[in-house]
Amino acid sequence: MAPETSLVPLELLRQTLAGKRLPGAELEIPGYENTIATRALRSEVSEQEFAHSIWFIVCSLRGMGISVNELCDLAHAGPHDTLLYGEVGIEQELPLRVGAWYRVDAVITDVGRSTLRDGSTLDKVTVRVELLCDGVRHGTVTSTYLFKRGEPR
Amino acid sequence: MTGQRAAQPPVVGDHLPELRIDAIDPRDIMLMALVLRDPNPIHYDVDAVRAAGLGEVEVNQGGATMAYLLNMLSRWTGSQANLRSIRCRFSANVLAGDNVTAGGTVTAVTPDDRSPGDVIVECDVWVERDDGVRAVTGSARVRYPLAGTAAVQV
Repeated sequence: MAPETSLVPLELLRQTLAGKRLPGAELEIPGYENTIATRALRSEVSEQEFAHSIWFIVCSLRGMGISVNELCDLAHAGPHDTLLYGEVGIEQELPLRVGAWYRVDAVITDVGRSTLRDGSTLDKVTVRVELLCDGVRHGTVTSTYLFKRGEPR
Repeated sequence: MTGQRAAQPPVVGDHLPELRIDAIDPRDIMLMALVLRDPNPIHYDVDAVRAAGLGEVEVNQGGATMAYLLNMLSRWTGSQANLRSIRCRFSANVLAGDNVTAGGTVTAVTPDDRSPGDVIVECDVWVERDDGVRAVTGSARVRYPLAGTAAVQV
């Protein structure tokens, strides 16, 4: 994370982040990892063909092409900032398949800021991810990452 | 409970069959940290949880808590493939050892243009802790098969 603790102007964040395309990735849904996730989440529906829908979330995290720490750096997160997962939306056009490879395209679509009741600042960075297999879109994931800035006042 | 096909389509106001998760296992949280590639130590290091002022036990990932809703919806409709969309907001932590219940109510039912004979069900959904706090709230759209695969009866 970046060492600075002063608040970055919202306009600067918007200029540098809004519309920024992230590297993305190509990734597989391995059968053994799907089985582990399915059991860890205690799913009662285990389908050989389809991966658990949590893989939309997994792919959105793994497939941005940057780590969570690098996302924090992009958002100028300091050592006293806290990263929270605010909201997530999945649009499934086709179910994900075990053993298939997916192209993940990721873009930062929005940056916003609000003030909490305790006076602290909350910055919102929204990332939209598209999952494609053989050029066919299977779905999108829109995640809002929250950066609670500094110590509560 | 599974395998009973609904004779009638759901109607607005119906409650979805709840899904209960008892005593969330910290080992499962650790496994999901690996699967999600989530390096946040609050999911596997109790010292980090204490340092963050979040208590004495591991914190479940928001995505994992949301997955209980996905489990509920796939059990109800019979397949992961029936999910059309889901949107969730994370508003409270779920901790190792917590019991939670995934639930929902039907808010709209419309014909499924892509699958004649079936319906699209819209619902409000949530994951609630035993203390009554809703850790995840949101909405979902699912295909509800009337002509095909099995689903849990409402």
